[in-house]
Amino acid sequence: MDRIMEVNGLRKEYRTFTLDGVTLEIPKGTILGLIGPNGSGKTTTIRMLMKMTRPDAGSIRMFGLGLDAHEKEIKNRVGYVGEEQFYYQNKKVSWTGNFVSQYFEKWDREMFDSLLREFDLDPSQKVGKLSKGMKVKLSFAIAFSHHPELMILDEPTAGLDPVIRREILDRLLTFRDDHEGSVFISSHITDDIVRIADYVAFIVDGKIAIHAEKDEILSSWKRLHFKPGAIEGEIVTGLRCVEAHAFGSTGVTNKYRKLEGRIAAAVAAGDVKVENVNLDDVLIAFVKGGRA
Amino acid sequence: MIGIIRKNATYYLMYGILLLIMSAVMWNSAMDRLRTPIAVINSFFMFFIVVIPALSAEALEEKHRGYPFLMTLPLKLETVVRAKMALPLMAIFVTVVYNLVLFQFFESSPSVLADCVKIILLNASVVIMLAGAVFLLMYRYNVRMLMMFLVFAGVFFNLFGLIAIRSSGIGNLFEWPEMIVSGKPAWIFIVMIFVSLGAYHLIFRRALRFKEERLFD
Repeated sequence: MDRIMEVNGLRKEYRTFTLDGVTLEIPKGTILGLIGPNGSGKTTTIRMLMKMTRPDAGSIRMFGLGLDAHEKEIKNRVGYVGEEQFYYQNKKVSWTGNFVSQYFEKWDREMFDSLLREFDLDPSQKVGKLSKGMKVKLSFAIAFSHHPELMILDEPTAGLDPVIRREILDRLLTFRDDHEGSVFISSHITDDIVRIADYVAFIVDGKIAIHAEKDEILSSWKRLHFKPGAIEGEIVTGLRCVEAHAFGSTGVTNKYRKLEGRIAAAVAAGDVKVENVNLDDVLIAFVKGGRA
Repeated sequence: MIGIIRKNATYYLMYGILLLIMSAVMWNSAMDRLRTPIAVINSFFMFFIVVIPALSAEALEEKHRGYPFLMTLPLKLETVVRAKMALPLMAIFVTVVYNLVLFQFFESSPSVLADCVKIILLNASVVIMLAGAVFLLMYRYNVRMLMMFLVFAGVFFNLFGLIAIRSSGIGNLFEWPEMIVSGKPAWIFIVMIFVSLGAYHLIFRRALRFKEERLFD
């Protein structure tokens, strides 16, 4: 399968934080969601993909091209929406569109105008007067209007109302399904990732903890509720987020498919209950679980 | 590059037109014939025509966090900095041409005219270097600090000039350039312009590195 983006061993060292050995890839026509708590390195990773932060080590390739040598060509094929929207606040929406249109080779003026109408954005309004949500919409209008092949999105839906959020996520799905576009989206709103992502990567303390297909993650991670002595001690020590309560204990495992056979009898006897987890639970297991 | 030049050119046009009109009015009201001190004064105008717009444009860029925005576009930082640093050269070129044209409107002896032309060329070289220094400091530190520094430097030079003229101990400041250019062939000052352009290019590389460090590290 064609890889639209390949990131290898990205490293960036700050005084209080180190992004270490980030390796990711996105197959063409898929959506990769990057999940992590605040300060885990999501934005640093994305800034490096946009050449807004210089990595200390590692390599970035998009569309088979090295980012350092082909920055302009790559950015022409990438739509970017950041966590914060930086525009000239004293300029109008129409000026902003005209300004950016000079730089994108495939700028589609008609599409931009139609997206402005669709998003209820007034071209004569100054960008500084737009609400946060409207600025995000402007960013999406710009990002889509140059027909990108890859969208790089850094927490784009944070702080948006549910209607706009849904609208944007649906548009990303259409982008993937109708145009074979690829998306790299970071978020700590795991619902968004569950809704649209094909692949998920978890980043914790500057390191990639998991990078796999979403369905594979959801099928291998389960929560076990078990009575005392119902499962082997070795299995219990391998669980994350183990909590004891009046009716027994609870823990999360990422090796459910391996354990399935070993706990089948206890499950049949009703001493162990298996429950699906969501991506939030997986993230919490990494952040608080403390067990590999 | 053209887009960045166009965006920032507004400041150069605004301040440039204003300052050039001011200098023309000053010439017209203060002089009946061409004298070398006026060429020196016009060189100060040249400095302000370059520095004020550069600082204003950069101040606005910092206020709106323009660089992070520009970096989301298919643009290299090098292109942005190159465009910004090309504008002072254009402004200097226009100011030199403007002065050379203006000299023709005043009565003068051939030697005074030649000295005035050499003073303008000499000052163009100096202003090219100063413009480079302004960009270097602007990218190494920030615009506000540089503005404060320039205000203090301006006050210092005014006081220094005043004391120098009053005491006459170090001569009239306006006569220095005349003393430098007088009797020297014009080609020296043309060569100086090319030398300062070379130095400006080296400053550009260094300024770009400062900007990269401030933005990307």
